Amino acid sequence: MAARNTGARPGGPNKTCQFKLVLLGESAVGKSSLVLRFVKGQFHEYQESTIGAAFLTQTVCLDDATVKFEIWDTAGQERYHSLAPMYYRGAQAAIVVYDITNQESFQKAKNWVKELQRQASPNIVMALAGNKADMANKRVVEYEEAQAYAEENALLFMETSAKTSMNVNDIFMAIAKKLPIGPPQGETTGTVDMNQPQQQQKGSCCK
Amino acid sequence: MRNDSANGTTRDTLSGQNKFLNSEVLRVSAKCDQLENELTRIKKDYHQTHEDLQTLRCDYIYAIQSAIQIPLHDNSGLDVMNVNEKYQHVDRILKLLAEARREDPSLPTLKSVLQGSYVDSFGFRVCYKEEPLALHYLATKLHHFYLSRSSSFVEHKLEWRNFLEEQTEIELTKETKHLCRNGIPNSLRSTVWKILINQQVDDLKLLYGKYYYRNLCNTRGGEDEQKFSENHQKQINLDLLRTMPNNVHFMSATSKGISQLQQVLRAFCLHNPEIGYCQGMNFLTATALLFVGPEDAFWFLIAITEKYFDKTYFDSNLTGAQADQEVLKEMLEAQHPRITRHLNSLDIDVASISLNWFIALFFDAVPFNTMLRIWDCFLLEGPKVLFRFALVLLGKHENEIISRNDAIGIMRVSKAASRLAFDEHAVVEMAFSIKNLPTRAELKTLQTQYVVALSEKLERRSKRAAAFVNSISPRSNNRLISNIFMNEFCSSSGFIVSGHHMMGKVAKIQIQNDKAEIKEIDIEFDCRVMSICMAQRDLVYVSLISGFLILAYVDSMDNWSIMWELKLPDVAVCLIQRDGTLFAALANGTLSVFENACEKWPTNVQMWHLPLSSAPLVNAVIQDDLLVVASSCKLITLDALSLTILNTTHVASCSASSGNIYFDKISCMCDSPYGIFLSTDQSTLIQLWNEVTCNLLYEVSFDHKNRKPSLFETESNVHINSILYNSGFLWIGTSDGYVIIYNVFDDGLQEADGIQYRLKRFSSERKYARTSQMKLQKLGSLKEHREEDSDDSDHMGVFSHRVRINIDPEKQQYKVASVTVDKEEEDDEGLQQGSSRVNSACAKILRSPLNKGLSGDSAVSVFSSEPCVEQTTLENRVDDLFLQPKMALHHPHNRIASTDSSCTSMEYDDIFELYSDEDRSRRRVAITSPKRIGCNKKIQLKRKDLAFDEPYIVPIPVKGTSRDSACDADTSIVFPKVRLSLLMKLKVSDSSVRKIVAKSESHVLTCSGEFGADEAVLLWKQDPESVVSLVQRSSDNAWRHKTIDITQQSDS
Repeated sequence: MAARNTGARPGGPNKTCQFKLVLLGESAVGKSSLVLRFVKGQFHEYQESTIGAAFLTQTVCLDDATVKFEIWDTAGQERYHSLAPMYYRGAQAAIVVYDITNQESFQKAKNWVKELQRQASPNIVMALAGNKADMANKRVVEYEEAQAYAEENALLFMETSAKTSMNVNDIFMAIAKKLPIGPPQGETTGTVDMNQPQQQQKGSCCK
Repeated sequence: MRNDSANGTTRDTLSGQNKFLNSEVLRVSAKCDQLENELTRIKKDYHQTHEDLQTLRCDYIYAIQSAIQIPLHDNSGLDVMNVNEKYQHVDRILKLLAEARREDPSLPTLKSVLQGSYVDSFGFRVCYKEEPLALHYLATKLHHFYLSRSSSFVEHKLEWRNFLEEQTEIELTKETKHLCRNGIPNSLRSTVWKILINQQVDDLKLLYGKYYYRNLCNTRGGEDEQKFSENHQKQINLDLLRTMPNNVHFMSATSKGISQLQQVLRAFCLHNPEIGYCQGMNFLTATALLFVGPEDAFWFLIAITEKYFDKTYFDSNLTGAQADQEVLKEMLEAQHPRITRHLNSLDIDVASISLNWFIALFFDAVPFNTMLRIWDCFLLEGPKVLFRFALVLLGKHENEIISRNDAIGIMRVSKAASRLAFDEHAVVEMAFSIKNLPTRAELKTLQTQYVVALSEKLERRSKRAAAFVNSISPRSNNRLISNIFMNEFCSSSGFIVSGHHMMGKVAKIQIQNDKAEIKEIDIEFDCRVMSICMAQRDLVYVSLISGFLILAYVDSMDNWSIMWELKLPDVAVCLIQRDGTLFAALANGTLSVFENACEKWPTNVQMWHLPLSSAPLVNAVIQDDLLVVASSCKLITLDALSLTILNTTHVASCSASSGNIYFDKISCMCDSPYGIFLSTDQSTLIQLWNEVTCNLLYEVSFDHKNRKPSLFETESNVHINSILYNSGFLWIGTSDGYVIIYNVFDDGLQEADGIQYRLKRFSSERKYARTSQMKLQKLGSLKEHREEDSDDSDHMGVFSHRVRINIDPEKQQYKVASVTVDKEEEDDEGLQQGSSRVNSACAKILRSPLNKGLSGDSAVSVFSSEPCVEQTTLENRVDDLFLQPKMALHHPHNRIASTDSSCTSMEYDDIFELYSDEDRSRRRVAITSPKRIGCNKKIQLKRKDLAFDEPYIVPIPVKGTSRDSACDADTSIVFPKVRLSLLMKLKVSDSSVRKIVAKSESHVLTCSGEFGADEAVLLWKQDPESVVSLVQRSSDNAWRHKTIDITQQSDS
């Protein structure tokens, strides 16, 4: 396996928190590629298309805590849209991905943001990723336009490139920093379990 | 006395000796018997021990393989495994491997697996960077190897063979279930799958006609096509290279597999526009293409969507597939209540794990070989088996699942568990030992109930239901006009071709004094007519979508009588005749050239088959001595006499922003003094190419006068359908029924307000380019069919072969001979030496060892390790061997395939039929010299495209202030050599303008819509003084004349 980019120290002195993160966006904008770059440090020009969803995990270290992401990578084709709620249900974070060389994918990303605002957990941390930044010569979605949109909707925003790995770790890191890192284990788990069984992962910490 | 006593003593001694010797003989022979028995016993023992040793090896390898641990803790990726690295085991595995490789050299080595240079028998490139994983893979391969040598497997294979000898259908019986569940041997899989697929869709094939698939592939511009390009084309193009990126047949845009995959998916979308393309179908189709040809893969998709599953399965909400997950949940609860409870307590939906198992039939979920075993059962028994396998995969690791308390952990255990289900035998065994499942009928009821329940919840249900009702109705039988062909020998007449997928008609159009008369010819074909071309004043060639080339005699009363017909390897999309030589551009990428065929009673027909491309040839024009053939995005220029390839030009793909630059095809083209004008599929960009230079890029949809982006009222998906240059004017027909006319100037003036284009060449940075070449050399039998180098001028020498048909009109017999054309042999003298020489050439080819099975027209060749079965039963089918790619000569089980006529709809008994003048009753000509001719493989195997990657070109408009004005080396600015100025734009029809042809310098014909409809065929008069008049046929069959003032039109 290729070298990891993210230092992973499970079970260190810090507390470890686990969060569910879902990737949404139009087909072939590079969702799976972003995940593969983040988790395994790999990139394939032609990543097999995702059907349904794929699951991976990766851990990032913050100053005072270790954040473990459960990543749910979803299929992009419109037809799989009706399954999306199954995947984003209970997610604490979402990355909505579009392709900077494809205007339609940006429009689609806006729709996803709208849907998440309406249907997902109210405290969900959302990030907008303009992927394929390495293909800037074919750009059709301007940085400023996306930036402005992200600000209006209080989204984290970065242009990324799974190919060159530009901003890939950064966007996950930025999300990790915005997530609520709860007090150490034992104190919260019980409370969460009792009150909200269907959202038990939310903000909960394990290990 | 003494003597007596001495005699007595001697006698006694002798008799004593005799006795002794007798007893000794007896003893020795007893000993001998005993030893013989011993030997037999030892031999038996030895065989037993050998068998045991084999079993032990097998089990040992299996033990090592299963000793691999899968740590699922947090920081490992999904596929990470650790082999217990005991060096002795590693050495032992390698030693066993070396031994096995002596028997089967196609097995990988550790090095090849680590380097990623190994390609398995299905074409997958295997690469494991870490040694333990590589060892695991080797162990799996070895295990398969031992199993394939075991006596039980040999017996099983024999059972299959015997079954196929006796049966042409595979009904669902105890016996067939047993056979399929134990796996279809690799060497028989394509045959069996073909039968299983075809018997599912028998009734549909009857309904839609036997040329249905070809029709869909070769038809353009219908309403369904519009839907396809709006809704599905983009997604398909995005997914083509993302389907099997690690398979040599699917990893490059120019691979044959990719073009077949695209063709099948497109045809399916045209067949069923309501379902259209759903991600997952790409995997299903690609897997099918590894074993069967494109047509069977197409019917397989139909069987999946309409027979195995119902139409809701892949609908816009995947209702059927989702409903099945509910059914699965119910079964899981009954079978493994603990798992269900545990998952429920953690709020995990099983569907999020299992949905893709059902949609892609376990593709990429389980190891490929395991998936094939699942498919073997599924194709026979239907969807119920999917539940069985899903239950096994979930239930196998019950304890592991229950021990975990986090959602993602469970997801990953179950995913890893299925990924590692290498022991297909155990998986199948477990699947079919599950008891207490609902019966098929109960299952059906359950599914229906859930579908109903789900659709009620899912929105737009009613809309969808309505849509599905419509989609079941058969194809429209409108007689659309598909083409017009002018008569080269009589400039005042031409032929209008119309029809639908089950009928083809020809009408003659006669033009005199600005008036035209259309007269239907009294002949009807059972399928669409693709192309017409005059052979002589009274002889006409017709190509049909069924793959036939017909020569018809036309008498003075315009009655046609068919003289002979010839079956081609594929549909001739375009026919061109020049000085008695006929060029046929075939849909399989081959250019067929015929000499001496242009006769009523040909006696010595010669054919050449030149494979030019892996994609279909779509068009061809003759320019002086040059023949220009279009295929995908390439223009291939050949010398019309020597048939040498002069150059291959890649023209620009349609748009820079779509991101799908690789898959555009040239949709229409025409000849002009400036070069070739052309346009690609779904594009509004006119291109002008002169040899390798692009002399013009002109965006039709851009309003050049007013510098506005669009000229079209309806912006969605307009594209150029037809193009014609005729003495100073360029005529364009669009898909929304417009005819646009431009004046063409070569005054070198740059249009100030035009858009300037740059052409960017993408040399695809496919990292596989090199390795694939290496691999091809490794696959022994492929090597000989590959070009020695990629120099196009060598093309002839390596690939083309010549077929000669000698006809004896008196005896009504014909002889067929085929030779591979070597460079040295090209002179006619060599060929005149007669058939003995020819035959020896063939014999030579036959003798070469062919222990690999080639599945004729499928995307790929699947290799079986068993020796080729010499095959002697095709005595009267000599023709098939080289002209009919359906019949794979070197397929070890040719006979089985050929007896099942239902599975190859393109099958014919003869290639060549003659009809005598006096007797119209289709008397068939006897065939002599039924010799096997082993050349057809050469047409089939065009691996050239795998060996290198070609650059792709995309036009990029130069904007005022270009962001990356620093043009890289790959871009070149296009300097227009000619200038187009808009003369007129006129809507002539609601449907697309399919064809524009020049009748003469002054007259032009356009066609659109249905035959017989008003204004379907229009006659235009073109005047040198920039005046175009429309001479038009109105409804009452009177002719009216309308002159259009160009200056006004172009302003408005």
